[in-house]
Amino acid sequence: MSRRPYVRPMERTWFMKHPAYRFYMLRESSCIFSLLYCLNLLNGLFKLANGPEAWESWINLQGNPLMVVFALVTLGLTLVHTITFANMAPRVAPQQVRKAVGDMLIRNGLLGAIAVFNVVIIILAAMGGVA
Amino acid sequence: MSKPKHIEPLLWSLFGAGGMTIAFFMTGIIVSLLLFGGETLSYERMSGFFLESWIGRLSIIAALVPSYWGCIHRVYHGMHDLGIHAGNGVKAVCYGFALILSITTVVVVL
Repeated sequence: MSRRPYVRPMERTWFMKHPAYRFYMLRESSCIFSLLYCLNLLNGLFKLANGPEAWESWINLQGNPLMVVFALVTLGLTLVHTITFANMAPRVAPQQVRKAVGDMLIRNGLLGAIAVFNVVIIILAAMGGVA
Repeated sequence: MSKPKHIEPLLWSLFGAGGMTIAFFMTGIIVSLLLFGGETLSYERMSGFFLESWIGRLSIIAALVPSYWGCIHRVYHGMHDLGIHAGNGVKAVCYGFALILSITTVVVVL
């Protein structure tokens, strides 16, 4: 590029100055934890493909206190992500739909569907997968 | 014929899909792994579901692949918020990593 646009200097801690910015950063930080957790799950898939002993060691790793703390932090941030995701859903939904059904129905409908889906996952897991 | 000039709409839709899959799958998966141990989530049951049944294979692919893209997209754009103005090289590394993770996931379960 030949042009050199002026970039206004900005402190790296800009988001600490306002509660809304802090919440924005908290929400965005969820992507780091989600990514790490996805890598943990991919590792679990590898272990599953490697046989019973490898799987056993991965499942035991999930009970390690540090992993539990990591899982709980990820869970908390996932919930922040889920709620903010549902909150903004009306704004990205097709606007005809939005006009027809209203913001609250889109938000609560999506949140309800997400809740049911996750509960089904937990029930299936409790049963040890689909028979 | 118009040729697609920008990859950003594709990356953005993968990011949107990732936001959706994290919301729909991750809470259930994390809670399940916190609550249940190796007896409930035994090797026989889990490998039977995730490595041998098509529903299991497709669900874990659906849960993970868009999530990688969504997270990595946000990590990449989040760098900008932290004052790191990464160039095309870093962008290629980020999305290349997402692509590798996606292919790996599909290969492992198939």
